[in-house]
Amino acid sequence: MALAKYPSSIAAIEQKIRKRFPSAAIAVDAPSRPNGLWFIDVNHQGHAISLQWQEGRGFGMTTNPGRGAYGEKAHEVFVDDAGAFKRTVSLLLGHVNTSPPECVRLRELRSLRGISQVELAEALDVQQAAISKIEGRKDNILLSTLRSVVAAMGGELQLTARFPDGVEKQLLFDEEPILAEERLPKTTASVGRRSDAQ
Amino acid sequence: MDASKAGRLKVFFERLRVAESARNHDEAFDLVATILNAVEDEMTSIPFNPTTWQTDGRMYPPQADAVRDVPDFPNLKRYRSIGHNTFIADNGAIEIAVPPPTDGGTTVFSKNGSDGKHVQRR
Repeated sequence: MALAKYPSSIAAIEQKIRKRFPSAAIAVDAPSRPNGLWFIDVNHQGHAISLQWQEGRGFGMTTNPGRGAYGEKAHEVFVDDAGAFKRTVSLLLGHVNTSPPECVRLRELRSLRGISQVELAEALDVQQAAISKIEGRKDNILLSTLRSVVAAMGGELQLTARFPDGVEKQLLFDEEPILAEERLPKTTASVGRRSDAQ
Repeated sequence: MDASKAGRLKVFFERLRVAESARNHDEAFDLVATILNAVEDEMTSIPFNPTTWQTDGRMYPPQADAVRDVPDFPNLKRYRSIGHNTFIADNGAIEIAVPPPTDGGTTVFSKNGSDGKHVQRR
């Protein structure tokens, strides 16, 4: 198998990284198959970043690649080389690490906090069945409901908009109306941890 | 709750180490995939979705679109993933190494093929 043709996205970001960090060790790892998975490995002053690229998927990025894991996919993703380069500069200059998105379902979050459905229902002054319904629903949920549930667990709901160029902004919302059937009491009460969570 | 990646990786290497040696490339490729997928199924609640681009927290076996030829070693294939190269030889031997320039290519796992020979890549 011959090496895949050098894509312009790979060439562009490689050139930019070499120009910005002339002392960095950079290795471009080409796939054997067309449309295969490309890698660019960068090591600058001991800070290692692995970039991946594939046609139609854009860039993936992970620092400390492979540490304590095998076959893991990218921590962060970018649609083009401009966004990936900007993030690369930020990571290398700041010696900052990427981190995988930690996604949990509402039920798992409650369990992680050591809170039972009964306790959460008491904190929100609703029936346990209401909590079960909220945790089990697969369609939309009001932000206000979600905010109340997280607050009752002792947390604060934050929403972040992330863009391909690396810009991240926390979103603010005006108070939205609460539908009657989903109305939850405005409570600041939260429940503590316990070991016999459901 | 899911076990840690480091803990799952340890189990994966241990099971792969004691498994019967593969007789050829395809058997070795399947052996790695079967064992890793079983470990992840048993020790995590993360659904199997190998085409995901951003991590879902699950570890995935080598993918066909990440294959590389190894210069001067026509009987050897290299499968690239983040942080690792997985070498699989025609005799079923397996070697997992850290790619340069992260380091010099340290081998973190090695298993002989059914003929008793290890991966020859230097």
